[in-house]
Order: sequence, then C-alpha cells, then structure tokens
Amino acid sequence: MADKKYISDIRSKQIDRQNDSFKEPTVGLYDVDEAIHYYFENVIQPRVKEGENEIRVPIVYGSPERWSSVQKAGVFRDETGKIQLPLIMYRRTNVEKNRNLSRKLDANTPNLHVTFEKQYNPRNRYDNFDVLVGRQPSRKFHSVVIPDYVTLTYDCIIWTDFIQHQNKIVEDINYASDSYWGKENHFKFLATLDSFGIENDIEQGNDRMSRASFQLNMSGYIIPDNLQKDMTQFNKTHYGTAEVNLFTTDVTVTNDINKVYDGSGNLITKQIPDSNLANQNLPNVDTNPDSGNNSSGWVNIND
Amino acid sequence: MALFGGQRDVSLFRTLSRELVNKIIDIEVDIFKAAVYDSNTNLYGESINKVYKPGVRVACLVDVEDQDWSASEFGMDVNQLAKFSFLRDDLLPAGSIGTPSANVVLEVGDTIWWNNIYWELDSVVENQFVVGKDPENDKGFTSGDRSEFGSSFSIICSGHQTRKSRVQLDDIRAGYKYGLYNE
Repeated sequence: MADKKYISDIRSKQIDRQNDSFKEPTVGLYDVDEAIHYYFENVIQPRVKEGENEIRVPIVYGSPERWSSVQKAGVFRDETGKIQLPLIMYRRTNVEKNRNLSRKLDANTPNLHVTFEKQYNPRNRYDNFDVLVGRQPSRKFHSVVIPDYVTLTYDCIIWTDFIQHQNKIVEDINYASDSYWGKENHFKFLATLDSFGIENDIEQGNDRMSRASFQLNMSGYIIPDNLQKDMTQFNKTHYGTAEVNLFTTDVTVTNDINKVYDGSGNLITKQIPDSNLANQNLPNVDTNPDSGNNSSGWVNIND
Repeated sequence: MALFGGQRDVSLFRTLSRELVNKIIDIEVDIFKAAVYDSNTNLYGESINKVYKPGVRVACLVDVEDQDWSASEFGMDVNQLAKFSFLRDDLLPAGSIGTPSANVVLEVGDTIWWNNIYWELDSVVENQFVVGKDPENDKGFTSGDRSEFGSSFSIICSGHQTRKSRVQLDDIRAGYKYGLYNE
C-alpha cells in the first residue's frame, strides 16, 4: 500500500474552475464559536438592572491575549484596568467526533456526498437556434462531501456582582437551551445545556464573588477548507447530461446509463452494456462507476 | 496611680499627630457609608440600588501595596490592597476633642475613595492604646478611682480595590463623558 495514491492524477477529473464563481460551503469551528457569540448578543441579549439603568451583559471569549484583554476590552474595565461586572465568558474545551451520524468513511476517498443542482447555468441562455435543433438544456451539479459531525463542549461562566443579576442571566440562558443557535440564513447548531453550578463566596482582600458556570454542548459539523479535501473529493467535477453529436443526430446521455435518446427525444438504444458503451462512438464517456463521485451510478461526461 | 499617660501627655501626642497627619502629610480620603435604612436588601443580603450617606473627607496615612495583576479566563484583572490609618480623635463628632471632627464611625464594608479607586474595607482595627489604656474601658477611670489615663489613638483599616460596578457611585456605563475636547 506504500505506493497508493491518495490524490487522483486522472486529468479528466481535473477541471479548471478559475472563472467559476461557485463557492463551496465550508463550516469550521470558528463558525460555531461565532454562532454562540451572535446568539448571546442578538437573540438572548441578557440584561440586568443596575440602579436606574438596564445594561446589556457583555460576552467575551475566554483567555484572550493580554494586550487585547487590557487595552482593547475597555468596555468592561475602569481606568485602572479592573474588570467591571456583570460579564459572561465562554470558551471551547472539547471537540468530540460524533460517529452516530453518517460520515464520509475515508478522507482520502470520501464516499458520501450531498449532490445538488445549480439553478442558474449560463449555457442555457435562451436561443432560438437551441429550439430549432432541439438541444437539451445543460444541467450542472455539484457534490459536496458530507460534513464531519462533532459535539463541541464549551465552559461558560456568568460573573456578576449580585446574585439577583445572576438569577436573571441564568433564567435567560436556560430558556434558550435546546434550540438552534446561529445567524439567520446561516449555519445553525443545536445548543444544549443541562445544569448550572453556582458559586457564591466572599474572601478576605477580594470582592464578593458570585459566579454561575455551565457547560454548553453544541452539535456541530465541520467541512474543512483544506487542500486534501479539494484534491480527493472530486467535487470540482461537475457532471450531468451532456450532448454529443453522432453524425447528424443529437444524442443525449441521461442519468440512466443504458438509455440514449436522439434529438427528438426518441429512445434509440436500449440496455447498452457498460463494456460496450465505449464502442458506441461516444467520446469522453467515463463508464467506470468507481472512478469518480458517481456513487449513484451516473455517467460522468466531461463536456 | 500611673505616673505617665495622663491627659496632658495624650494631648501632646494628639496635637503633634494631628499636625503631622493634617498639615504636613495631608493625604485626604473620602469615606462613604451605606445608608442602612435607605438601602433595601434582598434575600441574598445585597442591594442593587445602594444609597450612601454623604461622603466625609478625612486626612489619614495611606500604605498602599503594589497592584496585583492576575490572569483568568476573563482576561487580566487587577487588585490592590491598602491600609488607611486614621487618628481616632479626628473621627469623633464635633465638640468632642477639637478639630477636625468628621463624626464618622468606620466599619467593615464601608467604602473609601482615594486615588481614583474605591476601596472596600475588609478590616477595621482599633488596637493602639497610649500606655496600654483605653479610657472607655479602663476600670479605674470608669469606676472613678482615678483620673483619665491613656487613649485609643488610631483606627487602622485594611481595604481592597473594589469594582465600580458594585459600588454604583460612578456612572461607568456612560463612556467618554468629558466631551470631545475634554472641556
């Protein structure tokens, strides 16, 4: 197995996408972290009463760099640099793979994809000539590898001056549990939390401490944006129906590998064996179902 | 009857100390006491809307420690400890023993404003007696067997830097409040 090639060098699978504006979806850990921050800031919006005013509780990601913590995060500090409360902190502490859901099986030859058809195709601009010759519309498909499903664990701490503030924030967050957190029209992740640990202490030489900690579990998914995925996934190949000219007759190869239609939609060949397909003067027809991402048995034609 | 520590001696010590603290060193702090009857507390013994009595400005000696920076999951945080030493006679009501007369009783939990920091008092120590006698608790003096000797001379408070969000004496949520040109 030492000489096994992890990256395909089949040139027919390598399509130049330099002018392709289609952006493949990628989901990373940052998206999950950002979803939590967004949800706290814009949906939960924890607020407490401080004197006559109602203030929003800032949320920070845990253990920032020193310069950022002191010099940039001035919104919750006084002139001397002392942190002002209330404050919510969260930080990711664990990423665990969830194998109970489907998976791509092998990173070098991913087996499971989500395939979808792109709605707009510039090749299908309306043209009378297409109508005259009975040209079939071109269809463009993209296949994206299914994500790695993961369970992310976050440690969160609510730090307040008063237990009354703590109660309010705990109530707000508890209400938001078991729902999908994230931006509208963007990636969303199921957030669950089970319990709050309450810690109220007073010690000499320090302010009274009122903290509530909880563990937030996010059911996330990851599609990395890395070279290995790009080179092994074959999702840069778009495939589908294509046209080939056999003398004066337009022939369309459809999803069914064994059926070939002429330009007027008549079935001209039935049950062509895979091994004989190459002998039907069909150029550039890939008949090997294992060579690409055609797990559904579709024919890949590089048009 | 004791030979030393009578009221003339105590008066000498008081005069010298007052001059030193109030005229020469002259470090002044503001003492804020919570208005106990005006501040409503909840079940947890905390008050969201604290009310304070008017601040009282008193001279004292300040022994402040270095800032103690600590890193936590919330980022860097700072704490500082300080010791405030008051002449006890300066804190008595007017008409007691000369001036100044702040008329304030320092207790644990009071707040002191000094050096742009609010200090919450962790301890109040009154344990410095001239010739070891506090006239208020001196059996010989209270029973009338002898005249007044000694004096409780100082009140030394230890405090830590507290959060302004807790004290609620400053509007810390208002952002930049001095205008564009610091007018």
